[in-house]
Amino acid sequence: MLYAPGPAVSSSVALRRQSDKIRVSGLALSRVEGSLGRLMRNRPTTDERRLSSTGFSRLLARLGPDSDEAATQYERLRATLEKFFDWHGAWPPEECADETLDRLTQKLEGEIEIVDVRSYALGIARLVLLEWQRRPATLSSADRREVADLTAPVSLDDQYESLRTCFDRCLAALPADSRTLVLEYYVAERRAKIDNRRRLAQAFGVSESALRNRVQRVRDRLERCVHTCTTAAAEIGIDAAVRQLADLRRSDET
Amino acid sequence: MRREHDGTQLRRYVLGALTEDERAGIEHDYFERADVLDRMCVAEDDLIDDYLSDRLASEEHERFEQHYLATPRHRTRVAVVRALRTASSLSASASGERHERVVSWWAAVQAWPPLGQVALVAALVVLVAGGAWMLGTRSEPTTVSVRTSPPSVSPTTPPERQPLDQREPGAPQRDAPAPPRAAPVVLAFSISPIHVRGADEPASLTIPTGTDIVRLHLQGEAGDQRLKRARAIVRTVAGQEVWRGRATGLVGSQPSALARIDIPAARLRPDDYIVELLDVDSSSREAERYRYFVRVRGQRVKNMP
Repeated sequence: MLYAPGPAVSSSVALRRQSDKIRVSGLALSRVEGSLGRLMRNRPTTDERRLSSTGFSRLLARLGPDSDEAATQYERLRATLEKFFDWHGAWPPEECADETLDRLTQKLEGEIEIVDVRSYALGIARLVLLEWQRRPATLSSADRREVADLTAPVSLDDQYESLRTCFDRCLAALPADSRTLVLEYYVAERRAKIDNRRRLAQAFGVSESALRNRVQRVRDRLERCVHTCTTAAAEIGIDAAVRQLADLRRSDET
Repeated sequence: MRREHDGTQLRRYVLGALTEDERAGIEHDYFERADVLDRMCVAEDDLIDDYLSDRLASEEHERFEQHYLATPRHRTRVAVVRALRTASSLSASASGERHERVVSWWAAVQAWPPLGQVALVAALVVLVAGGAWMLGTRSEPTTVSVRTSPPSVSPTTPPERQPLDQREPGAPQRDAPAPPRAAPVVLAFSISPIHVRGADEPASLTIPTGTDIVRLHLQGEAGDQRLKRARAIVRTVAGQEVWRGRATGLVGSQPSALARIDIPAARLRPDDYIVELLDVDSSSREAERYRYFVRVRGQRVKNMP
């Protein structure tokens, strides 16, 4: 069974999970494994969810010959899974990716022979997607509100206000260099856009692809923040949502 | 076997328009190869950009709204990109400085003193009027006027073409107002129906730098019935559709002005265009009312170097 965040936890858990998400780049394997406990503590657990240290070590060993390469490839696999679920509309993609990785590590813990770990991950992801699509229609409160919107008038002014307030807060919450980068990146259109991004990449001394990836990470963070904030605003009001956002930021900083 | 996927196929994947086999092939490849995933992400970004710039062809536009925007997270993504574009352009035009401090982009506009806003509008009028005069837009019997328009273009776009991302994630079926932005620069231009123009020179138009919207006043004939539910389609002479949208009926403004359409300037590359004005008849069937010809000469779009 997939973990499906209910209305009460969706906003805060999603943001906390994002900030607590394990970052494995550049870490030694032992350090990565040491992070497992923290990762597991921060994951909502179900009876079926079990992240095995042995399986995780085997996964990393399959992904790269050394710890750095393995960490890089792990992040890449995770990002690929997230995009897979995102493009299929499975929500939240981070949870679905976690579920897939959990099952993959469980398989690796056994003695099952897996020839191509990525293809195997794709196979599991398709199963997870199928389960997600067949899940009982448990609507979050935001979803329920969307359905209600079809028949009942609501204050669009309030919703619009939430979006712009959340966007402002989330943009302001970005580190200054990230904010500068993302605003610079979106400054122009069409041909000028291409030239502008080329110029930016040169200025940062990175390839255009690396620049785009960097911007996408910032934008993803902004997007998650706005989504969490607007979802919370729909449940508890914009003022409380903004306070909650500030609290989470403070707790992340500490 | 190493497969290559063209951009169209990747876009169709994001839009959920591929067959199961095609989809499986792409998925296999982007799980195996980082460059394919990278190109997928670029395709998605381009789709969002094209949607926000109203550059998607009608089929893609429809799929984008029905498939891609069906996911709340995607609506948030599009809304965030839209807000970023607005924030970036406001930032660039207002100060030309880099963002190095906390910015509230809505607040940035609201914080402008009234005198400053008036000055901006006046400057744009001078810029566009001067540009139009210098570049020359002669085409009798059409008339040209240039002005800025306080409301955005949205009132003249049909409901079905309103970007859905303007909605809050919690309200997919309703349109929220667009975020405040600087008044767009509008180039207004009157054209006569093809059969009226006869042997006159074709209406030709040069779009000055900085123009956001080309507003075409579509003329009719004396005794024309008032439009009921009109829309217009703009195609190149070669038949490629570049824009379609609602035509706003004009009553009592000019004797021969029948309708008005607002087209994003970026859509009108130098080319010859046919504008088709459609309206419903007494039996509620849509039929062509008039057809117009307009030639767009070289233009430079806002923000182009």
